[in-house]
Amino acid sequence: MKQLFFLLLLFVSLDTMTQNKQVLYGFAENPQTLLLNPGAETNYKFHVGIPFLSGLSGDVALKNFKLTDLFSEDGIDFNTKFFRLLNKLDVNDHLKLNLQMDVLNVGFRVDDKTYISFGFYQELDVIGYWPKDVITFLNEGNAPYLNKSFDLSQIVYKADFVGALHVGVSRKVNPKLTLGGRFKLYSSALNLETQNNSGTVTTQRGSNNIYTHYLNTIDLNFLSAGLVEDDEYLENPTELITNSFLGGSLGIGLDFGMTYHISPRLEFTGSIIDFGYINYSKKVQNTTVKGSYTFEGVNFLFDPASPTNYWADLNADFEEKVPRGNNTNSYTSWRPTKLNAALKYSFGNQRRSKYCYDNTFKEFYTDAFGLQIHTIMRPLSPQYAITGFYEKTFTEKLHAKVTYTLDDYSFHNVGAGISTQIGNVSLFGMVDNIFAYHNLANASSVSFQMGLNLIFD
Amino acid sequence: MFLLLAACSEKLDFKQAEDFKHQPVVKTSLVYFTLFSNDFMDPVTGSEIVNGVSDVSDFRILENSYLRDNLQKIIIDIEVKNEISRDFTAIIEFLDDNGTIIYTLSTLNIPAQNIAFTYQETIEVRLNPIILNTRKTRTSVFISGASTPLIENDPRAFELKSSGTYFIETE
Repeated sequence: MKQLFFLLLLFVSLDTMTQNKQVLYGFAENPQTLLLNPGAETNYKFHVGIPFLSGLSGDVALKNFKLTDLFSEDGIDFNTKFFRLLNKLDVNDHLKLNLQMDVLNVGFRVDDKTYISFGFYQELDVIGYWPKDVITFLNEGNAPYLNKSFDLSQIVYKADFVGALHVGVSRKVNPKLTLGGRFKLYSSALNLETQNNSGTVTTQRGSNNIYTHYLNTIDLNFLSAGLVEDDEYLENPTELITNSFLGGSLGIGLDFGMTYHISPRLEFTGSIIDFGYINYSKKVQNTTVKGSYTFEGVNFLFDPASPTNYWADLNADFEEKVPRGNNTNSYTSWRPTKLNAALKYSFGNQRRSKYCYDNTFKEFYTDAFGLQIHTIMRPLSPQYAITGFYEKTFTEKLHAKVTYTLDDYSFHNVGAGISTQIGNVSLFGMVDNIFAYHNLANASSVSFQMGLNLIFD
Repeated sequence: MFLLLAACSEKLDFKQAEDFKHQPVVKTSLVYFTLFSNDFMDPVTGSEIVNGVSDVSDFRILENSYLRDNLQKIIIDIEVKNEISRDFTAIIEFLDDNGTIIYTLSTLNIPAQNIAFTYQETIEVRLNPIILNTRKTRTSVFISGASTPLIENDPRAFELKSSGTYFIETE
């Protein structure tokens, strides 16, 4: 069961989006760190990522929920556990999934100050918030909740499968400062999202009849691109893969980043990633519902001379006041922009490593610790994470990093990673929430990142 | 990566989800109306209408297959406010698409000037599966007892309100 479950989890996460890569960020001048900070320092002539393996990361997180909450073999009635969970979860709780896979990643040094990197990656990002009122209504009905306004604005989700073609440059401005930027051309093969919904559903004791039902200021928008065309659903899922390479809805984005040495031991790095948008225009199918309605029942008029078709009138009146419609209007959505910043203090033994591309030397320290912050813009509100880390260099080619992260999912998330270079082959692997791995079912989040690159000094 | 491959998970029992029961209870308003003495008097002769008054409406909710498959019970609640100094009888019937009566609530006998008459009837779908064929509902109101004559343009009213409570259970 144990490996099987993990593989299942991994498989699920392969179909997803965007994550805090706190272990990888700023780690060991790895080529993949350039995707987290285009202003990261590098010290090699060129690198070539092994296709599909140069950078692979996955992340699954369930805020305030663990699989053991429902599926433990604890003898408790499933409905009791479900009800307990329903009461525990609130509208900020959510499920998120992310996968990013580097298909191609190449970089080369133009001169001793400038490094250019480019490539193509695919990313699946999914977040869905818990629409507590809707679930309560569907599960229990309105009878136990007279006078309660069921809030439809709680329906928020976003799923995006995107390919990103990118080119970036990092340039050493002076010995203290390196700046970098990256331009991205996104192609979204699939997008499903709904947010900024509004409206309430309420049942109250009425005056003309026993109950009055209110639909108040309903305004729902369900957007999709890449899934439906001419009322036909996408039949061939491999289209998603091909459309992610410039065949989908297009968008642009920018990354910015910097490294600044405040002193020989103290370094600040910061980056903004995926500052951009996608204009969803391919295979768009949106559904809207808008209006207000008050329903008291059918008011019999007892007029045999001109009988009323109450039901048809009711339907027509409802359609008029709460129109539902489909459209194929293109729409724009911001990418989930990420902000990273870190302060790193180095200490320990001072060593010199050869800057091979110009036969100069760089001095570095064997140990470092620091703090990182990570923010990602999400539909409801930004999510924050703060990470303390310790880095250790064992040899010039072997580095390790340990992190402790506080975020929405856990206050005791310990991550670890190693990066090593054997010949020209650079390998890194890292996981966070390592204490969860003895029982993944009881974890709220797990993630991993790995990569295999060829580096030429 | 070794850690990933060595990861464990406690044994989980996903089959428990098969025990999940989803039991919403939904209340909706049904028919309501207000009648006056004039509604029971012939506008020309001023005599009482002995055949009563009646109206019918389509009621298509039970065409929904989810409801047809999962509805366990319906409770009908009736509330009547009778200000008029006469007894009334009300008959509420459920009809199929052809207009055939398939279920009739117990006849409501509402005494004169009873302003807080209530009635509740429970329909178990298991015992009355034909109720699922309901596509129309008809309400007929008759005036009864002739001791006190109706007064023309009497502002006092006969008001009837109704609601349904639907008990759904899915597994």
